[in-house]
Amino acid sequence: MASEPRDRTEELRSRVAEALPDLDFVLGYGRGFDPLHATPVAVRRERDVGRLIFDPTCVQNLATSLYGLSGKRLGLVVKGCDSRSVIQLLQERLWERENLVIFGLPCEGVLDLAKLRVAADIASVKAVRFEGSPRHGVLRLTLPEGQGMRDMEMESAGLLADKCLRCRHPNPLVYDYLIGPEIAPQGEEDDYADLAALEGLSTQERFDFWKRQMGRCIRCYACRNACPLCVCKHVCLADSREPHWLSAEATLQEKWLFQVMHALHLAGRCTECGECQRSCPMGIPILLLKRMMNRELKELFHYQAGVSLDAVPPLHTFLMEEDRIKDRGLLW
Amino acid sequence: MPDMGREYRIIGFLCNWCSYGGADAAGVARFNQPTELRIIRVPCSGRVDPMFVAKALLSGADGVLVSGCHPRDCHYTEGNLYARRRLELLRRFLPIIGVDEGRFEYIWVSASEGSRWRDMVTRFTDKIHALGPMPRMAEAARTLCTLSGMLGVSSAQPDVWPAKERRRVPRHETRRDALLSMDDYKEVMDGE
Amino acid sequence: MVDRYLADSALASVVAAWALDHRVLAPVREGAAIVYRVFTEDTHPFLGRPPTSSAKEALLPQTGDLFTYLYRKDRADLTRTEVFLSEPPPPEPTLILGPRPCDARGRHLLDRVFLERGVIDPQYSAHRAGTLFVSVACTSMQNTCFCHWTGGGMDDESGSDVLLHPLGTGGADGFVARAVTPAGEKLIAALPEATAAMLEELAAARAAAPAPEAAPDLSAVADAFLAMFGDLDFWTDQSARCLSCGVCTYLCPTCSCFNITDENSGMKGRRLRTWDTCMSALYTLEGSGHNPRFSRAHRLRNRVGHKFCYHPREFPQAAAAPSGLEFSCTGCGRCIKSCPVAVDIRGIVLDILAAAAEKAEGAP
Repeated sequence: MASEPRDRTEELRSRVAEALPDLDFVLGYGRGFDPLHATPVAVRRERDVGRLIFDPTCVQNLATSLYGLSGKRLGLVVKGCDSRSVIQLLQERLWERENLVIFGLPCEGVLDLAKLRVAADIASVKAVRFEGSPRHGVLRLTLPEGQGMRDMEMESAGLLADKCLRCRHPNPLVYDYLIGPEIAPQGEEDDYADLAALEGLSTQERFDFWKRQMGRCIRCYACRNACPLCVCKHVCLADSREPHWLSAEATLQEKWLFQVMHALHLAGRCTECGECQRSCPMGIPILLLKRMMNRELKELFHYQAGVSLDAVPPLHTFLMEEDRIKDRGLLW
Repeated sequence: MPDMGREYRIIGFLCNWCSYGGADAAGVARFNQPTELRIIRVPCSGRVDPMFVAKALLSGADGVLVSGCHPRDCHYTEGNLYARRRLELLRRFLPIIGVDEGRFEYIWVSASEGSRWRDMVTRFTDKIHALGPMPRMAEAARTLCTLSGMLGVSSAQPDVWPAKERRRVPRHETRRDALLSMDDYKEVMDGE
Repeated sequence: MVDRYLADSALASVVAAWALDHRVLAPVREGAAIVYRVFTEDTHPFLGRPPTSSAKEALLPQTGDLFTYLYRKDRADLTRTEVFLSEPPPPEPTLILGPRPCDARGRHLLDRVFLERGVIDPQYSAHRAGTLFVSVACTSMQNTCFCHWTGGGMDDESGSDVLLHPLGTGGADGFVARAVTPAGEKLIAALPEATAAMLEELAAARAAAPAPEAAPDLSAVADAFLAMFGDLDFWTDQSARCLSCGVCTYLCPTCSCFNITDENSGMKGRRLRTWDTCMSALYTLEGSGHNPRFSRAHRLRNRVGHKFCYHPREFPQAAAAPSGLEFSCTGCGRCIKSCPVAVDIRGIVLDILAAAAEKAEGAP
């Protein structure tokens, strides 16, 4: 279970204990129902500090809970990618920096449980051990006896979430406490190489691809609720009867239109934390859409969300002469 | 194959101050124009939420045209400049979701440009005819495509989906149209 | 009834034969999920793991028309409008392949809601009467499984029409098919009889399967829940991580809540019934703007309470679980497995018991 050097978790716990008297509570990671799952925990008292953990099972983006908690004085445990969501929330003035104490943890990657499910195909696991760093080490799974399967050992790099394999911000961009040594990013620029496969399809094939993927959506809206920047919550347009954007039917059209709406409303805001895709019980590759959108944003406006506190979001502004937009009126 | 005989559904979002006037000017001048464009008047091209376009296209429109005042000429000074960014982003986004980029266009037409309006509408309508009808969500997928390297379709978990039509025609689909005929309805109440 | 043998290689052709006169819903692997799809000749049913979604959708579709309506102006007197209604066609005969025993048991719990509370739901009962369950017995328990807490088991037959017992790992050597109902008997009548060796192998595999950890004593859980009902701090703690999404309710084989909406289009429209989720703030939002369950704590409390307190109190005579109570939970564990933030309903139930006991001790 303990892949992180003991002292790093210890350092986190002692820093949290130190800051706790000034805070309502600290949101961090605790152990979930089995060794592969972490779960968000709220630490209110010093005696609960021992519940905090940090290892590659800490997949959730805790910034998601932030918006519902405004008005409180809060501590928050963030990874590099999560810190971008925090920046975006601060930039949009949806949180006050002075009410937030950030415990930043440089991160080498988190597990993708869906990948593990595919690779290992195991029913249950008794213990998990990470050896070495997540990028180069191994993951050892101890399985319960009597299921006719031997314990497993896998290279952990193959089990990391896709976003970790191209991570350019492993170190939190905003923090009050930095816990652990800084980590080198996986490359300077995002080349969006993962999009090439979808790019290679014809328009009709892409339409069919999404149709098949969206076909299994159950409209649970986990993607929306897990998104740190979907702050409309229960006044979301998807649930609104007036205007009537979406009907209650579970048809492809409604499911697909919701994802299009999600992507459009996150244009210039999405930091690609991947919570939408991770939360989807049906494994729909929703992040792909957001990344496609982000690449266009980068190309058009040289913009990337959640990296700078005082950046102006590209759709909140304009240039009289847009260097990347051809004047449509003269095109024909 | 361009399908010239068929009626298409094309939606136009026109700003009140320039383009709607331009369309009006084209009408007053009695220009010959295609009749398939259904115009929705909006205060400003800045009012056009990209979702208007997405919803129209996914709900059965074959094409969507947005038209506003020329840049620097907006009635509200800068509405069309915001719109330009949003609509350009949308134009690039639509192919990602499998909608041909030719089905959506945004243009600038002033109130005096009646003949320019006619040209634009004619060209856009021709383009939609060349593209044919927008594929429908309800139709069965025509191709089975998979993305290599994606988790969703790794060799352990083939992305399987029935691409062919079902052999047995489900009753619901055969009766769907019948539902709309009067004979199937029984009168239950006499309203005011 | 005779035990029959369904060879793994024959699976596709047997299912194809069923599909001639049923709409067959078969589990297929799509991405990292296993979902039910209408069977066609190029479907490859996957029975090796429990499907991601529950079998509920066969009985209670996510959306369905209750009726369609049509307004017509009276030509003679334009102030008068007539309304015409049309019922949807009856559901097609359906066969769902691959549910687990926990899903099949969910049928009884849905019956309680839609058939046994005085009002019989016509649409549900039509689906119910026209649907066959060809379930697959489990050979191992996942980390999230707890069917034995609620009176189920890996090869529990209740609710199934046919139960397939896998031979070899995950059915690699085929299945022993055991009919549970006469309708199930008819389905598998053409299959060859299972040999004695197969039955022996099955019995041996069952004997060798590790026993699950003993289920906790849940006989006091309904009362404990009521004791903890007013302790909002307890529920705030339990629900702090919850995202209020609908994963748990939509994947649940027994969650039966629905919403009714009209989809209007000019002079005609449809009245729809759609799954609803009590995890959403909109579920209890009243027209006035008041919301009796305004926080996640209230909502999570409702879900746990419904499953482990309100249901057993409403149906006290039904005692399926070892604890003497019938819960509206079959222990399938989907709400735990698919929860984005790993909320564990088992943990909440145990915490209720512990906290209530602590409270009772402190009381005198």
